[in-house]
Amino acid sequence: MTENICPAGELLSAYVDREANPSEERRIDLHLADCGACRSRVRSLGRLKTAVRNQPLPPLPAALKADLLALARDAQARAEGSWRGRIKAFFELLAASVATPAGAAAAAALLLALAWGGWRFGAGTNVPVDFVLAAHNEYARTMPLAATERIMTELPVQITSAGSEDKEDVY
Amino acid sequence: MSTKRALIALLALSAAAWRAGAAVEELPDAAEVLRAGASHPAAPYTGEVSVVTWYGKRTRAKELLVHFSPPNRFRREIVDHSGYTAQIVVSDGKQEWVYDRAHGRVWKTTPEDADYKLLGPEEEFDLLAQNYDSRVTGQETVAGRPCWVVEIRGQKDSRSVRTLWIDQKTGVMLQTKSFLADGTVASTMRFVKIEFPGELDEELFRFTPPVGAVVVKSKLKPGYLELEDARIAGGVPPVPPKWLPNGYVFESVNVLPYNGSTFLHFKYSDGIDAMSLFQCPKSVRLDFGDLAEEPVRMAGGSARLSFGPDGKILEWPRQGQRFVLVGNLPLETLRRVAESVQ
Repeated sequence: MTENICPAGELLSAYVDREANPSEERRIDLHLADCGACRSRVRSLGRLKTAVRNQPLPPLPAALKADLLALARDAQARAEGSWRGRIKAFFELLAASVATPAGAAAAAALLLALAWGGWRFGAGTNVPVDFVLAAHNEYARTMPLAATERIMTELPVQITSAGSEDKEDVY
Repeated sequence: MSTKRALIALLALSAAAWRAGAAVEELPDAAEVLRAGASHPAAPYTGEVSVVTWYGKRTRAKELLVHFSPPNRFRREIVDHSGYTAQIVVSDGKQEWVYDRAHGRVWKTTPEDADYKLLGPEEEFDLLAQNYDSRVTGQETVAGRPCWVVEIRGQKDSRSVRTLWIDQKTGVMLQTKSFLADGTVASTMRFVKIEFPGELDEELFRFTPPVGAVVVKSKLKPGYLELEDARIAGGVPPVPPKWLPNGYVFESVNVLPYNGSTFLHFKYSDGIDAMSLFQCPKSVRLDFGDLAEEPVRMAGGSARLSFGPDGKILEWPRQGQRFVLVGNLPLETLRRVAESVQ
């Protein structure tokens, strides 16, 4: 892709999700400077992303928890202590639980909750180095002979990479 | 030699001596020049600035278009090497807006305010005088304006730390050069052009997000706490280092939440340079992004080291917590600070 050719939808979507690689991101940055159509597409994708994120999860059916636990016990008995068997049983349990739309949504919610719990409490919180660098530079700016102009060439990027609070407004 | 020739020679020598005497300029006191440089300029200005930074094996060059209006309102447009205005930062003195043009996002942020620091400006200047020798070495012209050239060297090792070119009339720092511990240049900043038009359009310092821009709040919040207050606010006992590099003093702590994890940001100053230590849960994983990292050994385990435009970054786990040290200091010094965190 060159700077003049509009990027494909998938690549633009990856760009909005910050999943494009650095060189693709750089080319898209340069392209957006001159292409109003793509800037409009980026804004639409951003609004769609926000709207999806703000959608509430469907409610969990009352009997689902009991059904899932029963399936899990059966699967464990079949596996007879083998870890491969346990993994196989887990996926069988998962397949059974997603047989219905409500089951699929609930299983997805359960998996997301487990993943979030693992991430929050044990699997680690990923923090971009720019978060600490931005905090450091905000402090460095207050020094009496601060190299303000040099700091200001780095700080804006660090602030934007450090992340934001969840609430977003579209102007 | 005839008497006539001797007299002519004597007259010529006297004239030369008189000219040499006249050329010895009256240089001002360095402390006074530095105070002028540290104060907010009294006059509004518009300028173009060139900044070059060397870190690790990398170099970064950027330009800024700067508009400043006293006491502390500004607009800075950061232009990358391809000429694209990547970010615009506007401040009305209380609130800052960072506009990321490429992604159409605007960050609202509240910058740190030197007036709220636990270390007052006079104390910080005293620290500077205690740790560094400053000397006005002459005059030079930058962006067409006469400047005092001030060299700042370490008191103990006479190592050159900064050279500043300060506008004689307005006190604006028109050029700076910063040095690493080994004497190599870390960064240069230079005003290529500057004008003092008397007044600037007020619209420059008001920011209205473009239509369709996503406006978010930055995770960063200023804070200036004593250690005990930070323990109460953060809910974790602070673990500051027991050893600090020569001349550095503790300034304050800030408590920064990040996605459910609590960071304690310990701030240290030696009057010129800042050093930061961050304490967070061990479950935090620092993502260095594009910065290259390498493992380093230290007492009690290993650490990760990276080089950024703002100095070195050292990260290590210790006793169920994770620590990150940021500073423009030699690795051995950072390692010693890190090993004293217990």
